[in-house]
Amino acid sequence: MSDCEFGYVRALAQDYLEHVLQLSTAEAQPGRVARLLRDVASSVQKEVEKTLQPCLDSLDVQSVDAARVLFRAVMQKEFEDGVVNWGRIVTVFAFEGILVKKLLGAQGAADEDAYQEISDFVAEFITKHTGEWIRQNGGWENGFIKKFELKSHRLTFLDVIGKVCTMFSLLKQYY
Amino acid sequence: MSQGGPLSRNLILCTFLQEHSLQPVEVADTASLLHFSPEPHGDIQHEMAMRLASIGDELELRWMLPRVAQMPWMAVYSLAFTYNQTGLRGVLRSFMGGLTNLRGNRRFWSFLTLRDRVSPGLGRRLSLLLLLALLLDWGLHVLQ
Repeated sequence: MSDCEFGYVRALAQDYLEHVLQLSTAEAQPGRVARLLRDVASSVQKEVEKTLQPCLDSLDVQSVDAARVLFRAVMQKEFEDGVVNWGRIVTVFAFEGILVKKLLGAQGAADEDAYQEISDFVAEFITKHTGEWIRQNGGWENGFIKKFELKSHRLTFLDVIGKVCTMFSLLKQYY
Repeated sequence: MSQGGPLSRNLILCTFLQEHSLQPVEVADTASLLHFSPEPHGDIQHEMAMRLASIGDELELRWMLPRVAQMPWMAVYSLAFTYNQTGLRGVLRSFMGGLTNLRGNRRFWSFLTLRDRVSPGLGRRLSLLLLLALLLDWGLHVLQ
């Protein structure tokens, strides 16, 4: 399966949704793309939830249909300027996470079919509106990974350096 | 479809301020940046879409440009912010604080080089060990 196809994107959307809901799956470990997407989209989701709390509180997501309508309206506005980039594509997944949490809050229990439907319309939007751009920009396996993964390793390396410095500054207190 | 997005300076500024735990309560302009709140009668969907778009663009740019590129204007902003809040004395105090820190750091780095404490051979071995540990950690992350 090509990494620009609907099925591939739906699997990513499904995986992110399971990550947000902390559902355990019997399937194998998520791939590199899914793992990276979890990390980046989670940070974006946290940022949106933190800064748009009043907005989110007033949103009413009682059903999958309501989630679909809201998703389409917001996404249409977000992409109406014609700009597509990996950052904006990540925000689509982050918004999926927000909707799912709202829906869970309204319904109170996890519904497999509902989550499947949400993954479907998210994947449909991404494939239809950004599929061509993703293909032209190396696809998920090359474009997305290259864009985010190398830098996150560099950050990890800096993290390690930071920890070592912290360790030394602690040691400094005793000398 | 174009690739680049508009630079959302306000958002970068907000993130910068939040990262540095600054509380710009007294300054109206920065307060409005930090506490993003949609207009009471505005379109919630529109606000949300704009916010998502600006976060997406900022994410794109942050990963595209080295973080170092943001430093000069952040430094200028930080200086202006201190000046706004505490005046010229505050800026001078902050400058003196920076110099004191620099002196402290020099002592710290002297400690790190283990001068007058251990033999040069042991120091070199320790440095190599540290470098090896760092490389191993990085390698493990790459393999994961």
